[in-house]
Amino acid sequence: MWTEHDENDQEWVRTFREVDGKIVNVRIPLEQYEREQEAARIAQERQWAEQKAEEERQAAVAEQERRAAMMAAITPLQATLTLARRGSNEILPKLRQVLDEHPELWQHFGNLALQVQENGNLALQVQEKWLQLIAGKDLYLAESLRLHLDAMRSELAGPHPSPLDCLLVDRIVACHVQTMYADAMEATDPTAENMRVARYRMDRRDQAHKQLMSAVKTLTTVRNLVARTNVIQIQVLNPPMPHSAVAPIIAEANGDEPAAKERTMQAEKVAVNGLAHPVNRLNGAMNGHRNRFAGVLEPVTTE
Amino acid sequence: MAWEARGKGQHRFYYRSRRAGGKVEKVYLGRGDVAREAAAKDAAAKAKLAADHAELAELEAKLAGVDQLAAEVEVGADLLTEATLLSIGFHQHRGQWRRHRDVD
Repeated sequence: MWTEHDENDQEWVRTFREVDGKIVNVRIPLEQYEREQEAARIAQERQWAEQKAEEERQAAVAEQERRAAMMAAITPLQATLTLARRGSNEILPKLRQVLDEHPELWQHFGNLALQVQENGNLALQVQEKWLQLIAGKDLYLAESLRLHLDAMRSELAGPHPSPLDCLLVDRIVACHVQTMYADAMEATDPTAENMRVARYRMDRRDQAHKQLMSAVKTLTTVRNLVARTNVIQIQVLNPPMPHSAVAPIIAEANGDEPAAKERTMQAEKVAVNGLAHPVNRLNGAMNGHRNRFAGVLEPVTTE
Repeated sequence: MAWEARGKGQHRFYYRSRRAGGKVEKVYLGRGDVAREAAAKDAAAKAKLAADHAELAELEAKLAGVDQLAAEVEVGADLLTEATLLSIGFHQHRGQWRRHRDVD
């Protein structure tokens, strides 16, 4: 495309057009060319807007269907839970069956299907939305935070996390990033003139911290309970040697210092955890003992 | 707070409303400089209040979506945790999780 002037000093545009299946060089007035370009631009933008609207509509329909499927799965679970809460042990096999039959529940709420469907689970969506709010257009900050959160997730989940572990860890990470947002909001504008906004921010910050603490407590409780049942079984099969106050001293006297140190450490752990075997309550590491309820709390395989 | 027309000449006088003892009473401020100054002050305070409310509403709207998702995660995580613990033989006693004695 190039421009040229005629004898009347009118500006023309020379361009190529397809006429009857052939590419020909045509000359059109500049005003007409600009009008055509503007019309083409508007048509293109309209097309993009329609495509975007269609994609959003499809996403909304898919989300609606997914939620309907979740509700269909949750309803029998809630009904079974109501019976189980009343203490009827007969309902427990049914409860396990409902949990086994609906693995999509774990996937929906947690991070279990990270590699499969990133947009499909809520905890990741929550994390991403908080990251967008914190980082805005700063992609470097967003990516750094994402890596930090991934590292935190791996550390908390441990080497062989169960679906429940994954879910609770994801919840902790989501709460953590929410706390980060609340802190950042407070730090960026600590002397807000608007008292209502300042109070709202402070309330949100308190709420975020409470939610984080609650999420951590839930994970700790679950790990503690599951670990305790493991310990009971292990104790029945292989009763541990009674802890003696003099045992470390005798061992040390025999030159068996590492064993004495280990026993002392174990005694300290018992004092902290109330358990006979040391258990890291947050990452669940437990001296390599297998979970007794392996059927229910099966480690996640992510291939 | 308003300019009200009173009297035969329909002059406009400024009145400031305030609540006292559960009743609303109007305070007469006249139509001079004091009234104009009070009117400007009240208008500025009203505008600031509206701006504060708008800012708060904007912030709430910005966080509403993620709050809803986060609440869903909370509910789902609690539900599945409870279901799992119940299914493997625990029960809740006054908020504390305990193990059934007859579950092996």
